[in-house]
Amino acid sequence: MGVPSDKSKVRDKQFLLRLFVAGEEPHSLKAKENLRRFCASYPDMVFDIEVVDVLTSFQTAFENKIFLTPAMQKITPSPAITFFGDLSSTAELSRVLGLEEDV
Amino acid sequence: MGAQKPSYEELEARLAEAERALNAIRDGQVDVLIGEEGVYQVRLKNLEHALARRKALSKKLVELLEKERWEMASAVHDHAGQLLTALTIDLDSLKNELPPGPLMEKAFLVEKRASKLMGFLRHISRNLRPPALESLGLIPSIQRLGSGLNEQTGIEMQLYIKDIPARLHPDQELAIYRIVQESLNNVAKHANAEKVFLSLILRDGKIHVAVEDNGAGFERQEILNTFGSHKKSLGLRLMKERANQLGGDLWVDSKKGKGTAVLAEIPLNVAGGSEERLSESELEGLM
Repeated sequence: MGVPSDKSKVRDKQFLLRLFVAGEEPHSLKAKENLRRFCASYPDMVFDIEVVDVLTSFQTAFENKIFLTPAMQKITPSPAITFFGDLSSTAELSRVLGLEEDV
Repeated sequence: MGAQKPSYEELEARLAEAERALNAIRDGQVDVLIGEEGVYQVRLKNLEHALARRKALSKKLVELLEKERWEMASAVHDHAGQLLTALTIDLDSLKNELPPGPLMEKAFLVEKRASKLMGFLRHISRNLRPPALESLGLIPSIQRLGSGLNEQTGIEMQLYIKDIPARLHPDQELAIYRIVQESLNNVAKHANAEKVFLSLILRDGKIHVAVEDNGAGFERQEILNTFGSHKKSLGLRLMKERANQLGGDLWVDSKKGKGTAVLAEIPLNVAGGSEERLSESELEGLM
């Protein structure tokens, strides 16, 4: 997934996210789309997103203690946090990523 | 070196993470589960939906079956029964007009056969729509089933009742009656038994039904096959369905040469569960 923000406009936050999906399964597709929209709503932030398809590399998921998909890990900034589900709750996503005040 | 003890913050974060996972499962936002061995593709929401639909369809099936039985009983009792009664009256007057001889003997024979047929129709009608159930309640109706079994097969039924109220909810009475009826039918057909012991006991707010025979019994795998197969014994599956619908359960215990027991537990006070409603078109499809 691409990086939707312009790095020249970065203020103070950059995120490294890892999205675990299961191929083209419905909730996985929804999670991808929700994350894309979410990132687009913060044009001043930098989101580096790595997508892992557990159908082809489940070992990565297992090693990262991901036991269901869709799931998303915030790797940096620390602490690492894992979300589960289709990421439709943008309010919770903003709160946990510490972006509430930026909305 | 031993593992470092997690801090309070770490534990709190793990707890929040587990809660988020549970919420995702609860909301049906899950595509696959991942384990040590690989990925298990589960559509939880679909599964839940399918189970709810199956439950609704099974309920409808039992209701339709019951409705059909009542309609058939009415047809047998009200129409065939009346026609047969008229036929008997006609035969009677015919007998009075006939001179003694072979024709008169023939009329007697036909009358005898009509009387037998009447008895047979009454038996069918009683099985389809137990008349005593509504007016007298469960226990007298079950006692009649026992007498019927004994008359037809010679199998002796022993009945043990403990703390069962004289009247139960009509749905419970009908379900338990049908469970016992089907169990006794199975005993008559398959068990090769001499005795059947039936107990109805109220314990811990549940009605415990047990129909045990001293017949041939069957192996565990045969029971599994019977319950697992769509082709085999719809009767057993319907019995289980009836118990399930009242918030209870039913199972069969048997061993080759050691007889068979049909056991059911049904809560005395039925709690209404959430049910998925079928659409009009699905209902029409069933009708």
